[in-house]
Amino acid sequence: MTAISGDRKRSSRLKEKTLDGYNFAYLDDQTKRMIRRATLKAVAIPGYQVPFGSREMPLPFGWGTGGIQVTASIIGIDDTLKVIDQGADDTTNAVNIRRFFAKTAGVETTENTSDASIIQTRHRIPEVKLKSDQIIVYQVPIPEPLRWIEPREQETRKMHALTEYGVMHVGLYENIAHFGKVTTSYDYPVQVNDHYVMSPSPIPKFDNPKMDKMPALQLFGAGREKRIYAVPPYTKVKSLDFDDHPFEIESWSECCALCGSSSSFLDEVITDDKGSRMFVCSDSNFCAERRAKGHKGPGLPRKLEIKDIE
Amino acid sequence: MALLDESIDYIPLETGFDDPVYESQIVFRKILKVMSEPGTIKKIKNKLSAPAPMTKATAAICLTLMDFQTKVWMDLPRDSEASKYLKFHTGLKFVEHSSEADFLVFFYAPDEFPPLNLGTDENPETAATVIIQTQSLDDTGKLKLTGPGIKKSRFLNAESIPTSLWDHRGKANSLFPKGIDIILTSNKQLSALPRTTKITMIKTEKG
Ligand SMILES: [Zn+2]
Repeated sequence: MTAISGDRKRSSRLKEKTLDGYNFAYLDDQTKRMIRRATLKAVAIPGYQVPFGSREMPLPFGWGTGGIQVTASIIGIDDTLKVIDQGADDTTNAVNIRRFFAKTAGVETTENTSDASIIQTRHRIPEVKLKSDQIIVYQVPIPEPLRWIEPREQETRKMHALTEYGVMHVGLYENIAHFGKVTTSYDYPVQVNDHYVMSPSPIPKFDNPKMDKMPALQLFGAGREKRIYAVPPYTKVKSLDFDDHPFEIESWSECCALCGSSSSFLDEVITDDKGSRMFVCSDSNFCAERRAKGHKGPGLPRKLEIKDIE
Repeated sequence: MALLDESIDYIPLETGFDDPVYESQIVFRKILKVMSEPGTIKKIKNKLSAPAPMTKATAAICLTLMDFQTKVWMDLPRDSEASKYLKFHTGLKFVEHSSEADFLVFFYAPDEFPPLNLGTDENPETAATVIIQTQSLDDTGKLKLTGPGIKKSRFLNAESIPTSLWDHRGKANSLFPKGIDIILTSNKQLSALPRTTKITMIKTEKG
C-alpha cells in the first residue's frame, strides 16, 4: 500500500528535520491531547473561553505562549506556517516563533499569507482575505473582555452564561458621552454568534470586520490566563455598538507611501528627527506583493508642515 | 465517583498507531475540521486495526483524544475486545455511570441518550462528547444543518440513527450554552455535530 510507505517516509522526514531530544513541536503528547480536547470544546462553544492547563514554554509570557501552545498542538509536518507581529513577518518576535517551529516541528515557513496553512499572529489580521482550510491563531494577553468591569471570575462566568452584557454597553456608552465616539481602537469587543462577548486580542478595530463570517478557523490562546477560545468558519462576529453610534473603523486621508494602497491599515513612520513622516502598510507582505505587481505610492517621506497638523 | 481500577493484564492483537505523535496529529486535524465545519465528512487513512464492532475511525478518534485523564462510558461490556483494546492503547478510565463520562462511545445508536453531563451554564466545556458509530455517512440529505461553521446550509445523512435521538439532542441543546457535542463515525469516515448546529429533518418520499 502506497499510503503506508508514504507515512513511513514522512515519519523519517520528521525525525530527520526536527531537533534531537525535543518532542515534535516541543510539547509532549499528553499536553497536546489536553490542549486538543480544550480546543474542540472551544470550537463547539464559539467565543467561550475554555480553561486549559497551560505549560511552561521556553519563551516569556509576553511572547505569546498561549498562541504558541495552540499552534504546537495543531501543527503537523505538512503544514506551512506564517508568523506575524504587528503585521510584519520580520520583527524579532515573529522571527523567533517561526524559527522555534521550524526547529522543533520541521515545518515549512512562509511570509506569503495565501501559502500558509497556519498563521500565528499578534496584533493584526492579514489584509488578504483568509481562505477555508486556513487556521489563524491569535496570541492573547487578556482574554476576558469583562475583566475591567468585573474582576471576579465567577461573576464574569455568570454574565457570559446569561448574556448579561448591559454593563459592557454602559462602559462603551460612557466613552461616547465623554469623547463623542468610542475611543477604544484596539481589542474592541465583539459578540460571537449572538451569544458570547469576546476579546479579539489587541488587533486594531480596523480588523474586526474581517472576523465576521471568515472562511478560516480562528483560534485564540492566552498563556498567562490559561484560556483557549475559538470562532468557527462562517460565524457571525459583531462589534458592539449603538443605534445612534454605529461601529466605525479607522480610515486615513493618505495612502501607503510605498504601494499606494488606500484600503489597508497604515502605520505612521517617523523617518527623521525633523518631523518627516510617512504612512505605510502595517501588513508588510501585503505591501511587498503590491509593489511586486507594480503598484507605487507617492514615496518619499515629506517634511511635517503646519497644514498637516490642522 | 466510581472509577474502576483495572490493571492491564491483557495485550490486544489489534494494533494502535504505528507512529502515535505523527498519526494522532493528522487525526486530530480531521476531528478539528469536522467539529469546526459541522456535517463535513473526512476519512481516516491510518492503518491501525480495531476489534469488531469498533471501526477504524472510532478507534483512531479514541486513540487521539483519550488518555488516563479521560473518563469514558461505552455501550459494550467492560470485558469486550473493544473495551480492552481502548484501555490498553490509551489508559483511559472507564466509568460505571454514563453521567460521569467525558466521552460516551455508542457502537449502536440508542433511541435516547442515557443520563449524560451537559456541562453547566458557567462551565459548558465540561459537557460530554458523544461518539456514535453509524452504518453509513453521506451528504445526500435527511438532515439539513445550519449554524456556526456552515456557510448557508449543509446536508448529512447518518444511517441507523433514530429520529428520537435527534429530538433528544435538540432538547438538550436548547439549554445552550449547555449541550451535547457529537462525533459521528462510519467505517473510516467521521463527521461532527457540535451543540450549536441546528438540525432540520428533511421529509423523504418514503416518509
Ligand atoms: Zn503598502
